[in-house]
Amino acid sequence: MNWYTPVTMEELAAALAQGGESSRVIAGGTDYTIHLRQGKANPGALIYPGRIPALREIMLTEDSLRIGAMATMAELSLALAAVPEFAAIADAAGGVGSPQIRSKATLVGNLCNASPAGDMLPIAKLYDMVLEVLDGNGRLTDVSVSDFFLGPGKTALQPGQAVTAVRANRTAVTGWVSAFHKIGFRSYVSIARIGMGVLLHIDAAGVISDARLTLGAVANVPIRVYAAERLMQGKPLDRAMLEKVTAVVSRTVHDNCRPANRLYKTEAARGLCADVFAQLEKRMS
Amino acid sequence: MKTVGVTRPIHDAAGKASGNTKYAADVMLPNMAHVCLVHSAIPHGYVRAVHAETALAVPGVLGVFHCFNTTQRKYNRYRSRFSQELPLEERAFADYVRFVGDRVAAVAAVSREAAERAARLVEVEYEELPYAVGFDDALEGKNCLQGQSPTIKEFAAEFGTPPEGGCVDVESFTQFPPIHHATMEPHACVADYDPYQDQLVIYSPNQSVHGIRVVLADYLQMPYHKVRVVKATMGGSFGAKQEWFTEPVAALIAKQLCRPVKLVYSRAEAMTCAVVRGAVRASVHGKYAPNGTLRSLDVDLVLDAGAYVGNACDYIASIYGKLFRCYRMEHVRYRARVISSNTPVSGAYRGWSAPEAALFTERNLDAAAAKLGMDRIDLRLKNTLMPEDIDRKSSLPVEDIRIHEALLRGRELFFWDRLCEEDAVFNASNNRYRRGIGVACGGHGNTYYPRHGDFGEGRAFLNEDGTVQLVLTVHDHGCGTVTAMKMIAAEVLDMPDGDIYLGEGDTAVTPVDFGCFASRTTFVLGRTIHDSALALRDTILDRASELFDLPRQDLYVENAAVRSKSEPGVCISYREVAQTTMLKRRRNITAAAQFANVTNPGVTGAHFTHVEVDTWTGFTRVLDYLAVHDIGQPINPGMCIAQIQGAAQMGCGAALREELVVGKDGRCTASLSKYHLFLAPDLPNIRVELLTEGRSQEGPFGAKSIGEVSFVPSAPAVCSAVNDALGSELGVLPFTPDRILTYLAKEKEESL
Repeated sequence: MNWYTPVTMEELAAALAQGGESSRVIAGGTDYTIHLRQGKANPGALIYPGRIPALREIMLTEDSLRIGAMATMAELSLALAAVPEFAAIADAAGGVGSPQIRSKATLVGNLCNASPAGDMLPIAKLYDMVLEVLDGNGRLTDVSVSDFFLGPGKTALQPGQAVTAVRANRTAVTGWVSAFHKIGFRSYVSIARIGMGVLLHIDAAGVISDARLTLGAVANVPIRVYAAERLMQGKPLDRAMLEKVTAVVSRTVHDNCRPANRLYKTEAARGLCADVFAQLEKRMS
Repeated sequence: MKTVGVTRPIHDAAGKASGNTKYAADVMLPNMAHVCLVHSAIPHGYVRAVHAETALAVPGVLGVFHCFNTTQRKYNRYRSRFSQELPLEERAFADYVRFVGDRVAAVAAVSREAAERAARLVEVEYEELPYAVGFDDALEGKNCLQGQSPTIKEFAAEFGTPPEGGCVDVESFTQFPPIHHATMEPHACVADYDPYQDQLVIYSPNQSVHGIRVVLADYLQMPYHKVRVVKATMGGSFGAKQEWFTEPVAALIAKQLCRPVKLVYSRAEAMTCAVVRGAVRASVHGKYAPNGTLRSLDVDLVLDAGAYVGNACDYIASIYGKLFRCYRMEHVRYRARVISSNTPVSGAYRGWSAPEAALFTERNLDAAAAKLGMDRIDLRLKNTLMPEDIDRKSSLPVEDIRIHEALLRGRELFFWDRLCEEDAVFNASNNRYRRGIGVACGGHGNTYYPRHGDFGEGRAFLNEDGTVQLVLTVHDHGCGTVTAMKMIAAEVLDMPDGDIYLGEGDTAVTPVDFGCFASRTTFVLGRTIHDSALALRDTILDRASELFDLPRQDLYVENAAVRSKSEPGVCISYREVAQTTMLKRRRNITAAAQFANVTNPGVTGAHFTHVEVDTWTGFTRVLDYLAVHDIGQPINPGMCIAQIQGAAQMGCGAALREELVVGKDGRCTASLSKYHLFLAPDLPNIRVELLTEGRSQEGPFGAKSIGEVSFVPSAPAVCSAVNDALGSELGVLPFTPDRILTYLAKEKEESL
């Protein structure tokens, strides 16, 4: 097996070109190393872009957020916790695995791994993120998150391509407030059974003027719950609204998850909604 | 006392904390081969062919071993003493496989990587048989071969006479799944074979070096003195390392290759192919007097042994015995069956049958309290064994047992009565969270006695510089046995425990012993080392008297020196006594002692828990935990407390989360990402109260056991609290969020 450790974007492109069909890009390796050890993966070449300084950057400007492929969960949870419109990213990144995992694992790696339970999938969906994909010719192409996830472990990424960063439009969500919460099998170090991200814009009168809501770990790919979003628009954030949103979320979970988990996930969606909205209320005050 | 009763760190704490302690997996020997196993891919069937050609072609591969090229002899994994009569069940490599994970082949190679790669290339042809997963399949006999019965063994016993009328009947049902021991260190073994001396050496973390010797010597047809077993540092056992599967395989291959081999299990192997606590279901019918006195307990129990019977036949009999270790039993009718499904093999687990007994007994007591409208502590207080009672099954006195006191003390320290009221107020004003409190008791033993005879042998040597070396067959599980033994000897010899050396079990060096289980270590071996130290002290005094011409009856030891009551100026250091004895008498100062106990006092504990159940997500948070233990004299109190806290963590897991799920395809949970142990952030501060007044007669300084009894009441106490919070009678463990929400959904449906 060959190893590539490029230090520039040009070298990365060259490695992608040389690596061949069975090459694989590895970031934090918190999932992929396990697959390697179990013999489930047998790549012809491994490309590690962790030595390219630009890929470690998290860039927050007035109009956008750009997260380099090698930015870790720990760095994200620290960087974005105090930015209300992106606090959901910090929530999700801060809840991944253990401190050891978070200091290696990356958001982009989580997306490329494309586990239905990946915490970053509903987050990417929530912000309509754009993935910057580099190929062996050094060409960068934007791929929308809605085109990226194809199923469990499957993405639109082709051999010889690497995601170098993801972008979120900040202008569209400036002044919004966000939160993410998940239910796993325990409160810490747990893989999500349901994850939920919510992004709200509330006007001066306390009325929700715009909303987004996504669910992870329910179906094979993250789901955006438009029905719940429409329901929230023009309403105050109160108990009556929350009950209606909860009903829609529960139904969405019920209709999309596997039968074995249906009872649990449908019921537990109520607790999840309550927790996410409690967090949002805290952030608004 | 100067040393006993004062907390000390364990002997290898610094090495472990700094990552420098060497475990069996760290042992490197010249020319060592690495072994990787190939496991059965099917739950039940015959191995018809093994194709090893591609595996053998991998560079570095030294051999592929399977049922067609290794001995057909069998061994029993549970055997640990020469006198045990047990069926020989397992070959090193099965030709008839009984579960997914059964050993079918092994690859030895010069590197672990090569062995792993080659192991994936071994092709096995099977003839599949119908298989059984879970109680219902196995009870139906789905996996029975021609002429086999689903019941492997039935055990029935009755004590006392059934009560005549006037009783309240209480039925309960309890079921719990297989669980994983979750030791931090997985199973590992290094085997070295010297063909020129026909000498086999085994290094492994294990609970019985002599037990392994019995099994290996018989299996490999070698005399006992040609098999040396050395206990390696152990990163936890909880019973997982007292049955033998890595050692026979490694020994066989080392012998065939005539070179050292290392076999280290992965976590997946430790979970699926090693040993689990077997699944149990129990229907219990209790009869109670209106005042809460337990008049009769009728138990019908099924234990699923998994793929091999192992210890299961003894285990079901032992559950019966454990019923008599905590409460006064007037009448017990007990019927138990062992069945064998095609799932991971059951075996020893911390508490060895007592936690099982507690789970179903405590559930029935809680149900009785509810039915009689009594407080759960009050009901237990009516039934506990009292000092001077006897264990009605073994007829041995329980001595100064303190379970009654433990309940009273816990009620006070836990603010039980106040919490009852506070929870009622909380629950009335909250529509999402429900709080509840729980209590459970448990009892255990300190030795096999009288089920088997028990004894120990220890030796003590005085070095030229006045330090002391001890020889005793101990197996430290990581809980501080070595330190505790040194502290006992230090107390007797009145010297610093830091000036004492004690190694661990090594069949070439330490005397024949049964092993460190049955909670016998402190009670039997601790007393043995106490007596050995005492004999050494007497020899020191004898020599000092002779060599320095002092009246023997005036001599005593103090601060590692011989002093005289009649002559305050006399102060002869141990060093001086040792050196003078060597120079003038041409003798070493050594002593030996053997000790055979004739008692097995009651050792008990009561646990108290406070939980909060989130009825919207099904999660249970443990808010507070108190363990009160009747321990006699604690040798190293800090380590006793730590063991109890660890037991509470295991109990929370067993009650709320831990479950090895065997799917319809026979595949078992194989990763800790799917096996949800309780982690430190999930736990409250676990408070521990030690009751030290109930001393044992025979234990060293009045000590009693703690390692196993501490686990007995933990899961039942957590279950009790959840049922209290929900007003439920849940009996199927663990109480996962799924089970709780399923229960609540059903409850809601029924109330509509």
